[in-house]
Amino acid sequence: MRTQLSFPAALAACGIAYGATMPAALIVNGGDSTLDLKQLPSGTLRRNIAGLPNYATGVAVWGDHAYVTGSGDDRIARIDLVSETVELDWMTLPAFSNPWGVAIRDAHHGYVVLSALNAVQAFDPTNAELVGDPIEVGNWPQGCELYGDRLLVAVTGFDTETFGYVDPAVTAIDLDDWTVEATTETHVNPQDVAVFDGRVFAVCTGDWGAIESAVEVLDASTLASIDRIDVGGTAGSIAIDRDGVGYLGDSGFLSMGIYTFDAASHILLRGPGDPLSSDATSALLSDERRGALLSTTYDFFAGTLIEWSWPGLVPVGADPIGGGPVSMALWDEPLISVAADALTPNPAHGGDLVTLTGTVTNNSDIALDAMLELDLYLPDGSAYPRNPVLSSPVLGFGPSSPRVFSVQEVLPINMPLGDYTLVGRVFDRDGGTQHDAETVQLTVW
Amino acid sequence: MSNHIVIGFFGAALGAWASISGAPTARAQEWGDEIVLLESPGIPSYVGLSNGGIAVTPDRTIHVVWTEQDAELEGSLRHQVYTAEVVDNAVSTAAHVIVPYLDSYPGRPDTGAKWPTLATDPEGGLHLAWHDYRIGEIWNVEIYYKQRPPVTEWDPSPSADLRLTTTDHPEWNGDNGYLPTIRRSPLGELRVVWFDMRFYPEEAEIMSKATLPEGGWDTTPGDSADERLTENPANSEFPDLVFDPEGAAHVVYAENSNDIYGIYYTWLPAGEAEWSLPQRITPDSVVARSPSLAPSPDGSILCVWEDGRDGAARVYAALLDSAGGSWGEAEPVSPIGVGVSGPAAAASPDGIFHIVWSDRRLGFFDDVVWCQHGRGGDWDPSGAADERVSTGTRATDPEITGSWDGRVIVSWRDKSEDSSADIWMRIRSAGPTEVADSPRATPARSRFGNPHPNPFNPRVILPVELSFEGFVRVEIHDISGRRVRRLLREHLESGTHRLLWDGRNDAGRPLPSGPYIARLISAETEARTTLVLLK
Repeated sequence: MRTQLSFPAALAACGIAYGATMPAALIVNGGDSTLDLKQLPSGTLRRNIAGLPNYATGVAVWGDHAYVTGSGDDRIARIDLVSETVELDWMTLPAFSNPWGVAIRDAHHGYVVLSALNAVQAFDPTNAELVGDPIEVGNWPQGCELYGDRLLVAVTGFDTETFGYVDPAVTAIDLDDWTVEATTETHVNPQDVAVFDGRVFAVCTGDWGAIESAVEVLDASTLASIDRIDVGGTAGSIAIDRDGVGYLGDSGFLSMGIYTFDAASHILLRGPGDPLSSDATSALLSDERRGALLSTTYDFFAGTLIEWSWPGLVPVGADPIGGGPVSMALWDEPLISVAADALTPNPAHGGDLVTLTGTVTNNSDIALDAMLELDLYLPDGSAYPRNPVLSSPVLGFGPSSPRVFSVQEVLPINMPLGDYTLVGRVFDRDGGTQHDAETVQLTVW
Repeated sequence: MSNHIVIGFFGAALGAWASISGAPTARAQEWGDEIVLLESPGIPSYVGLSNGGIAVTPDRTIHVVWTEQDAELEGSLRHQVYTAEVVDNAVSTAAHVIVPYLDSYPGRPDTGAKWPTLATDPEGGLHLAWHDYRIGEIWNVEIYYKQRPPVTEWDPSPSADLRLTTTDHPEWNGDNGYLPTIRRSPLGELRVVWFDMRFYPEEAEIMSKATLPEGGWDTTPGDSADERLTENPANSEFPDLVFDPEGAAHVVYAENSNDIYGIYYTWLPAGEAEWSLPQRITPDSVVARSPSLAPSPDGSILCVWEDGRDGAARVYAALLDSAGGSWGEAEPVSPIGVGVSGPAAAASPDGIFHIVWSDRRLGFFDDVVWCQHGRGGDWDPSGAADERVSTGTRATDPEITGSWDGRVIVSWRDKSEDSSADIWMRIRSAGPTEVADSPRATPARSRFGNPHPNPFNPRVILPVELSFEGFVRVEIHDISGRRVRRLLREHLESGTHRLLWDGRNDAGRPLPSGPYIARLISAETEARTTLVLLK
């Protein structure tokens, strides 16, 4: 093949200081339906990288996509985090099902909690399809967490007929058999779960009145009850760091703040009377690699993201974010990302001049070198024998800067018909570490 | 210039009207002072408000439109459309012309731009419709439309005007639309109804058209772009239009056959194309006219009209519980023998209906605007529950609206001082989305009463029983404890108050199904109750 590649003028080559990715925090703002992104190494916050469904709640990340539940309009939106584009109607769920928690196991297995249907539904994150029937787990489930081949679900027990909490529990679903494997009753109103060192920690908010919050501790393998940590207040979110310090967020019903506990000894370290922070806290995220805790201060119209350093838990930064933050997730953002912008014509005929345009972006705050390769895969899935069809020289990228590329190719007249796959990959200057990849389909007919 | 002396409507001369209670009252609400929007000193001109003459934008600005035979125009019988804006009980933008008399008008008396009607959208844009004579002499009257985007000024130039009706019947000069009413659906559609003479020699029919799903109006020439709601040998006239919370359109009109007017009703469910067959609300033998509709947040709709069954005209009212239901029994609202005219109705967000009209109970030449508040089934026709709104005594043609922020706004024309007519307004302050029961007993302890309905969709009434008088907050939290709505932050008297929550958050967007916790917070008490929104 004869491939012509053009880039704008090359920048000076620079060294590489990072691995292939850098952690970024995604913040789902349910109040104003926006998604914020904070690059954690640089501290750069990008507000409203994508609009979200009405009353967005849960978020999960797979690859370079985020999946966000819209409890207000019963759907899952998918956000391409590289191109920062959103498919709001990526998946429609049963009407009035009130999707809440979401988890992705692999490219073809995702799970979404349908609170109003008292059930969990499986879906295919790649093909946007519901998989099988929903499985009932108990009254008004909310948060969920993957643990091996099981999904742990916080079942609040809220009964829409009596308005009380009936049989609050943590339920384990065997994902291979798609059956409820175990259910263990908990303190009132478990809203979310976290797993640490073979134990499940379920934050139970209480009944908004006389019964205040507690953390239920269960064995992650058997789901047997181990302990209960009385907390007080109305904690509803949870995170545990690599050192075994647990954090609880209370968004301000009876009390507010961040409480802490020792996940090894099950001792409450700081409760409502002595909170780490006295802000209404709606979501927590532990950044293991950097040793930091992220918390969101809840305000319906304007939230705040606070970063706390380990081990002293000193606040090191605060950023204004969108309204009503409700959940967070980590994304390993490619240091350098590649995105296809257009492929024309498509479908194409043999003899056509096909042009692929795309963008390679240095997402970091330092200058980086990288190289771009393009591989072709035939309609039967096999690799083209002369891959890579394109290999760029080492190119320099300035900090936080994009570069547009274009590739032109005249298709052979006798090119077999079918759907071809083009995969663009960006590597570091030695070609040893892949930063990112992008796939596009080309139909020849 | 008019020189109104503003007195409380419980003034000594009116004590007989105000000293009797018994009907529901909203004690936290009070009428503000009268505000004059337009004065036309010494000119025997005509001014008038029409259906939908008042709109309130999200910034709480009140916009009023009306017709005036402008004194500065030669001949004075040429009509223009005026507007004025009111903020915080004061005129913020003085009366000015937004549809001027054009050179292209035929120059005959009684032509120009008449009967303006106004709607607003959630972004603060304004939408104006009126009937207009610019196309061809007195015989060719067309419905026109123009809009004012948010935070802009009206464009008075003809290029800003859109001709909505486009029929051209040379055999009758296309004598088209009269007295339009424009409203905006909760689903975003704009719709206009009017009565129309295009089918001559048939009598007037009720017509309508709405914005297209993709936006804009269908102005295809001919009849095809307009919906015909009636097809009968009688005159169908003076329609009014409202939308219910689900987006269904409801229309009432007066039908005149052999000088016997009756009130008829038809409706169109949201998303459908076929209007229901017209249904007569009033008995066959009763003369009834000038209907007006008010949609309540709970989906019920009130219709009021002038009714002659008791001799001299009285205001009568009937309630439609919900779209597709049947109208309830008609009830008298005003006293017997006071000569009412021009009733109009509105509902405030708390579900209370407000009816205004003009009558002559103070003397044969004294027209005074009155207002009564209530729900279906509890009107007091004795006059004891009526509040006097206008202090002048030539006040007629009242128009009323219930603002989204709880205020009730009444505007009317008044010719008290001389033969000129002025436009006046009075604003009833918003209660805390609160309806007070009367008489109000003091509960033994403060708490929430039983919310109803519960589960709910889309609205719930939340009773608050207060054993004390003081500052109270009521908030709604979601199932994760996060506050999603500040429902009330007010100083309240002791007693039982009923709050209405529409299932929306502080940004005005509908919340998803699920449990919500209502909290009552004050220095003296803290209470909570669970609400379930089920869609």
